[in-house]
Amino acid sequence: MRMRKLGAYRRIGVASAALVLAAGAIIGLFYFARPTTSTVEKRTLQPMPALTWNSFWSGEYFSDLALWYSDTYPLREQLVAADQAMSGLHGVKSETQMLGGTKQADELPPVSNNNSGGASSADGASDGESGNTASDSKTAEGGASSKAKRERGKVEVPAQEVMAEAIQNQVLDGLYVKGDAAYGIYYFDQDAVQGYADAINAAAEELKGEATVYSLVAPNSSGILLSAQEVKDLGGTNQVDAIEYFYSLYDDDVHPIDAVPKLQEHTDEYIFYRTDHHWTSLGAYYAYEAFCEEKGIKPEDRDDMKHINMGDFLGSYYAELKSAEMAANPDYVEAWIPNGTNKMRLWDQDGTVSDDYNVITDTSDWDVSGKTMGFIMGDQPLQRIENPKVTDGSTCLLIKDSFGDFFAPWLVDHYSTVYVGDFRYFESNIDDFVRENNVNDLIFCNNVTLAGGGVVGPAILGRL
Amino acid sequence: MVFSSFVFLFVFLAVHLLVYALVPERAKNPVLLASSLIFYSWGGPRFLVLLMGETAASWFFALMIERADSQGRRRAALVGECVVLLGLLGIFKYAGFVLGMVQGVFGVPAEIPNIVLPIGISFYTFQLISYVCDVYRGEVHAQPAYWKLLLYSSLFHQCIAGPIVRYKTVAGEIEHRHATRSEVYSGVRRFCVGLAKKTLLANACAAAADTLVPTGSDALANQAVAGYWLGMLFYMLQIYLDFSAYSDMAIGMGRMIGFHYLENFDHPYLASSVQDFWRRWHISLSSFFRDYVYIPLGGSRCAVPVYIRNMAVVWFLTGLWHGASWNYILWGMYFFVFLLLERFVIRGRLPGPLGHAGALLVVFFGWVLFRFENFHELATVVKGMFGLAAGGLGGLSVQTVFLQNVFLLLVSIVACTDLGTRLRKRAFGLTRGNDALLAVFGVLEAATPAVLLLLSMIALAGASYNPFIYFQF
Repeated sequence: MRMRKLGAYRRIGVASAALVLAAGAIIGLFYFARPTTSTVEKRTLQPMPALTWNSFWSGEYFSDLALWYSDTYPLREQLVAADQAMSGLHGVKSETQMLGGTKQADELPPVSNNNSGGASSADGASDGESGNTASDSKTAEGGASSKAKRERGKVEVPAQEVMAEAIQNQVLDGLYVKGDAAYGIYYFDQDAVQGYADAINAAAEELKGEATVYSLVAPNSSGILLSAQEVKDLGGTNQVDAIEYFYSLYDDDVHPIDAVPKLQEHTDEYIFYRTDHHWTSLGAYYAYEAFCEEKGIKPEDRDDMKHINMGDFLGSYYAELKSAEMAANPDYVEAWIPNGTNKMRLWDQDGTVSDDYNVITDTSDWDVSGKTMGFIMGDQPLQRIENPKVTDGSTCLLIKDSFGDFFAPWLVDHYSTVYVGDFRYFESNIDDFVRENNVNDLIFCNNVTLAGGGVVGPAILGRL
Repeated sequence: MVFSSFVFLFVFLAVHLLVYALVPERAKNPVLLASSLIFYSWGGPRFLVLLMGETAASWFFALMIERADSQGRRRAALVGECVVLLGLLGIFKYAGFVLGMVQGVFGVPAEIPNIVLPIGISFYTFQLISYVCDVYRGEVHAQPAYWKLLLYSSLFHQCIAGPIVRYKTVAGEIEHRHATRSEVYSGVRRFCVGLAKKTLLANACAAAADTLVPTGSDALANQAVAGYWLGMLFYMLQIYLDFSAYSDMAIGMGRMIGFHYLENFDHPYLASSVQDFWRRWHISLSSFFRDYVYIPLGGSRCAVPVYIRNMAVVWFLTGLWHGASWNYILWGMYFFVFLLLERFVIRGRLPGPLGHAGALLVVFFGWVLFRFENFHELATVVKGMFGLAAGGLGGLSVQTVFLQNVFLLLVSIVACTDLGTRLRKRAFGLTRGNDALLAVFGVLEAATPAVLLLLSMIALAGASYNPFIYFQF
């Protein structure tokens, strides 16, 4: 009797499992409901593979098909969200956490006196012991750029996937979490830093007498907002010292933009996001002040500009951590619209050109994870901003990573034309572009993690 | 195709079960065979040729043995089977390893061919050898129908990751099988338990282990002492939960349709000694080596030097079977040493808890050998565990991983014990004469498979990390 009753329950158990399986199979048939991109993950989902004999015979077609099926499964986003909630049950979260962070930073060498501290030292002596290959060849005078290029040899730009993977790892490795804020820890890598400095020096050498080269190595929040001791305890490198070291490797022709002291003066202001790895528009403003000092011009007063607040924002750290504390206390995105113009021409990765873009787009109605796209529409091959209020023909080219998105709008009021190119997608040779477009100032803006990560240097060098 | 994937669950398994349930009795085997061949082809149809070829060779040699009129011919057929199958296994699995060693010593060949390991070759090769051996020993009749032997070797339940099912276990069920309602439930439940074990526990333990003791990364050298120990503990849990989950799913799917595969694990981390561990761990492999290598060599009923030789051979082969790398061989020989120690030195004199703790410690360090094919990494971890590497004793990152996974750790440890099984039995016992409790128990029984399936779906969607460790064997 007992077994018979239990048998009835068990039949229900089999039927229920079959129902779940059948429901899953039927949902999977809704081809039209399959997404192609993921907003949360900020990536294109696996496309349906093309069938070829080779891919069929090797099994690659089937593995890609399986990946496509699961990656674009109609309820995937909801299921992923449920999984993230479920993963929270694995343990408890302490007030401070460290994710990753087992990287070993190279020891930071003592800073040489060449350009040290960001001071533009036209009279500074070159440090012959810096080991800088580009500086070794800087005795080549103007007009010898093609010779310098020949000596350097051909450098391949790293493939997009290689750069994407490296950057993803660099940005999210060594993540220190303190309550509702996360901080990316920077680990000094001697070779990568040297490679970046070589690339900037090479650009300056290539364009000597034709354009002024500026370099802004942007610190991230841990370098400015955490104490040096705290960073040291976490095994990270002091970014203030590291950036000073970057700049010490530059030749005299490179103008370093020393944003660190400016940012350090304003640590009580909203200069870095807590849920994202970027600086805010305000943080970029203080870096822009440093740029103006270096260039010898007066910065615009942001109180004279139109200010907008685009509301709540949850950035890359939140996407990684799904922290309840962050969700409860999100960031917000504010921006200042340039006085000269807010219009922008944009060349996207598909080669489409459009004038329907703005320098600052009000993204108040956008998803909370995508609001910083409002700054020059994010990372693109090329943007051009023409300011009708500056008519002297002055032109700059900003080669940058995503930190430059927040920096670029501040440049608009100082030039007739501002070009912006993301180092990953910029399709021209930088020096050719500078010459063809009569660029006066070539500005490199990279976050210290990326600049010191081994990818940006070859990407720039490969485009010279 | 892995069992713990959307495409397996919602396309392959759903369609297969539906068709299998609808077709008449006589068509069930052809449906099962077709499904198995499709399943196997998913990893690359080119490997199907090898599977079908090895099965054809085994079919031929088994028939030769049965029809031979002399012991010499029977033996020749058995040798032929071993040469062909072990030869192919050697080429596909070990050629690169051997040539690498030759190159290291003699400098030739200049280039080592990159031979792709066919999925499941270690499992189905041993299954087919066991079949022909059993025919040779007269324990089972040769299967006259090739396609039925192909059904045995390619059966998707166990073809690519075990357990190593003997032909004699399923010979009768290939011809005639029946699953009672209770067995169908038990199969469904077992499958869902296995799936949940893999997706909810093993994958999460793998993520923690990979964070703390990553392979192929410089970060390994910078870990703290506590990080090495905790990471290896997660790995120890992962490897059992992962592999036993696969066996659970295979056994469950078999039971749903009337196959009764033998158990492959018996809570190995409850072992009271190293020898006991090997009675409980990957039982189908241990029994294969026992029946087809150890006993034919003379087993334990022989002089001590011969016994030691027999043990050395078995444990060398056990290590080698797990992978074409010296660390696996070292892992096998490591157990060989401890088994000899238990037999000749310890002789069962350790009290229960101490024996259990000792066995666990031996197994734990065994997994350190198992995890790192790179000897430099292996040395780093071993040194690091004793404070001789670059990292300190602990640190915030280790503390973070521990706290974030503390409940996972506890649940995973419990999942390695028989506590769940005992509690279920106990609960069932309490329902005697108590309708209310019976109803509660019944509801739990009814809900368990579907809930576990749903939770597994969620975990699968969230996990981009989904390797089956044992696929490499």
